[in-house]
Amino acid sequence: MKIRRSCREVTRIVLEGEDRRWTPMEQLSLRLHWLACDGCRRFRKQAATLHVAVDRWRRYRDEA
Amino acid sequence: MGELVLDRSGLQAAGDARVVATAAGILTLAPSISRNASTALTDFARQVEALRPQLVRFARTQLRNDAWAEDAVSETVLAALEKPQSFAGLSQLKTWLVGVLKHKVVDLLRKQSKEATALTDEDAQDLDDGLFDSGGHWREAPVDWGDPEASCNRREFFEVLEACVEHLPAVQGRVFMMREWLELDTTEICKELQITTTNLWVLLHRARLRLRECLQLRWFGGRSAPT
Repeated sequence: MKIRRSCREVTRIVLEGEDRRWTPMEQLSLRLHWLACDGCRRFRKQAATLHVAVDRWRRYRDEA
Repeated sequence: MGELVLDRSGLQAAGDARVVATAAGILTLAPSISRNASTALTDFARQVEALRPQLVRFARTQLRNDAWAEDAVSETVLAALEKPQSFAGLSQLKTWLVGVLKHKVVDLLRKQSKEATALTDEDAQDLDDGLFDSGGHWREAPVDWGDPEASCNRREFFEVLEACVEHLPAVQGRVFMMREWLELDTTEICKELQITTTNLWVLLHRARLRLRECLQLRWFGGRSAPT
């Protein structure tokens, strides 16, 4: 069981969250990492923005 | 029943079945077809034809191969003309055509899976080493992109996003679009393209990192915060 993860690993897991569910252990290690890391918190926000953007883009191009 | 005017290009036909080629494709007209029905048919064909450029653009973004895109769109248009239907307006017709196109595109990717997954040099490149040092820390910390509501609704933003997707290396672009436009899950994508889960995860990871980098440069300002 790995709790402490590097920014590189956290980034990979955050992006994989677009395509699968995080395991409870991953969720825990993400939370702990975000508590201490500004960069990864901002990356998580960027990933969320990207998610919303792609959703809207799909609707925009298929329907507009 | 005498002579019938079959379309506006001045073609005339007697009562037997005729095949009339239109700009849109090939329509088989029954002998008993009325003037109104044939006009409706060519109107339909014209509407379908008007949407073709958009369909071609969508197919290209997904397939990243102009010949495949032409094939997929031609099949879509033919399927539409074989079963003309009435729609309340162009946007409904478009939604329907896009739905048909999505199926044709998956068929094509399945048939061409080998070529569709042949990695280019760019596809094989990993961005991670540029982003993280040997200890796995950010070389340059990500910046705040602000409130997505503020920009992500704008037409200009969608155009930048689309351009960024089109700039993805070909295989990354294909899998990204299969996931985000065709809305297939990862198991389905692996099955259609005959690739391993590991390969797919790596490709999606690279695609999303590239997309983020492209948006950072072209929309969110091109600055990075000091670490």
